[in-house]
Amino acid sequence: MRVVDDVADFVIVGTGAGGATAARVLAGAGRDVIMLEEGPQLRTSERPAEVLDAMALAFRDFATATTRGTYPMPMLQGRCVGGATAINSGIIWRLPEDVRQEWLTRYGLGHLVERRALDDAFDAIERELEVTDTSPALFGGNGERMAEACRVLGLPGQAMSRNAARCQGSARCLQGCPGEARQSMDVSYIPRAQRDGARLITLARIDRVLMEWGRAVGVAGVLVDPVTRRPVAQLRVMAREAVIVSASAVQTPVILRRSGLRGMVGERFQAHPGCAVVGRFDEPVVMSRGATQGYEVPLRDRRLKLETLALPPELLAPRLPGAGAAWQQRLAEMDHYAQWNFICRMEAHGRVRPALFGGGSGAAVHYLPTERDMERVREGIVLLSRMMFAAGAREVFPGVGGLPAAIRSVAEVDAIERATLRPQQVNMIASHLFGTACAGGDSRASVVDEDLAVHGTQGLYVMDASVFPTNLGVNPQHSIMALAWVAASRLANRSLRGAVAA
Amino acid sequence: MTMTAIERRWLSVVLPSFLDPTAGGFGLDPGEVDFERGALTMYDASSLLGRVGMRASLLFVMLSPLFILGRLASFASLGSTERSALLARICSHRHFALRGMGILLKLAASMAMFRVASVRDRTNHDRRPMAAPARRRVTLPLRLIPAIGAA
Repeated sequence: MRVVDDVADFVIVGTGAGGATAARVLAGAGRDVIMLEEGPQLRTSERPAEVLDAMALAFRDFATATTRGTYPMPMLQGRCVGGATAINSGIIWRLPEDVRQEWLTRYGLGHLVERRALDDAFDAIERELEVTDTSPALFGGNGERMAEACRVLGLPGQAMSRNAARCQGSARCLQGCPGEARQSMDVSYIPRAQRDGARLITLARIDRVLMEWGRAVGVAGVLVDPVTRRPVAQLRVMAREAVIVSASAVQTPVILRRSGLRGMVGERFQAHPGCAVVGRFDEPVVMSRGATQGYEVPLRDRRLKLETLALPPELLAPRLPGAGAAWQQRLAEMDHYAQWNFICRMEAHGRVRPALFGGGSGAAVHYLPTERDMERVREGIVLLSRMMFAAGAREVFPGVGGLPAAIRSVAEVDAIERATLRPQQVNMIASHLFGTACAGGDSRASVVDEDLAVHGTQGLYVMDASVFPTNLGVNPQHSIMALAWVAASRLANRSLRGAVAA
Repeated sequence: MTMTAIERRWLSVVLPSFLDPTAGGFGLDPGEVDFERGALTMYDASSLLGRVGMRASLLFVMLSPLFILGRLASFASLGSTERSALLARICSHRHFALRGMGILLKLAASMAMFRVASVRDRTNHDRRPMAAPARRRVTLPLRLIPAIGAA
């Protein structure tokens, strides 16, 4: 097998929100950067509109990688240039103040989440990525109905803030924005870093960080075939100054553990699992029109966030109950359905380890919601079902195993409220993953310090959601980017000072 | 880990059975959807565990008349209405693992079906495309119309 060698000041593993932001800052500061991405680079024109082909290209393992144990929960992860930002809806939330305070006081992260630096980073990112509130004209039938439900039930609904100021409402965030309105990393910070001299190597699967006497000197892995994903060459990229691992809360701890790091690496895995409720309306909803996600109801005190989520027919059809005649009747009127989901700020902690076998992501993720988490899940399903009826739905599909697949009155929602839900009864998906290389002042209870440098090493940093000591209860992309921005800026400054001193 | 020939044949038996051609309404034309190809695209992109899950689901559904109905028969020997009724039962089964197997195959069937534009059109899902984006107003040069009778 041939060997590919390269070298740069900074080697960044992963091109999602964290890695791309670090590359944008470091390359912008004139540093020599190489970005390594496990997936392919998908040009907008190459991204298919059909979900089957789009997911096969851009999603890690077609989203079939699940948590282990008695309740396997699928995990949504992007595997392409841009990572999850290339498949999500570009929802922007600043780090909630209560979370910032907790990180400050309980985890000793004053330097990292210092308010002014963080606000400056948020401001810069919002300016550069054209962040704006979703216009009501883009709510579509799905969002309009959720807004109506909020009005009827007195819930604090609001337009989502997104990095898609030029959104045309094609409802194709998942397949790849056809107009490049969504400022995902593949169309924003990565091209910008490349213009500033950064290099991008795709289809590069990194197995480990090369360590010499406690110092990270590079990374090793393989280049893979884009179709078979089999190795075609060995890859070794050396770092003159630092290695930054930004491979996600699942892959980052795997790389670190394979590099010989232990302690808290892979511990404290957290997530925002969620599930969805579908409603059928007499009047057409037309989910294909409007922003994929445009309206939300943040309920922080209940640890829930309700959202609209327009689905293409490929993903809506399996959510419609039945098979045969009943299903066919529903398929013929797919424009009459609305779908809303919630994400739950669960208290459960899990762990991530390198998989011995069978882990498509190379990771074994152990995670199980607690009883209190399941009470919140039940509350989310009940709330969404009530909202559907408040918005005028004739029929609601709460998606709870062991209970009627379709309910037709609010009274039937009460039956769900009385039930004790087990994880096995609901189809949850984990889309926001955190905490497996958590930041903290205490090296025994954390993996990285306030500069996101790995404790006890030199030249090794982690910049992705795995450094979050807790989950957030809101969409994490903006917080990941801001922390990476702050840490990479300090790294660039230190690196420049070092160069001047030398 | 590729699917065997018999498993691929099972795909062509099980996936179209989510629809009942005798039921009327939404249906497929013969050969309109290549279920096998669609499912194999999904299979090839899946994790190892995902692939094992898909194969186990197929095997279970083929043997489900025995497990669910208590009849010594294979899925292929059932009529179309019985097949879809059986799949509906599996997809709403109280046991998570069985329900998950059914939904996985239903997802594969849906992925294959709605990849085809003509099938997608029949759902009305994509109707009424978004209005064209607002275009910049262009000021056209005014041409003065000479008054009638002017020289």
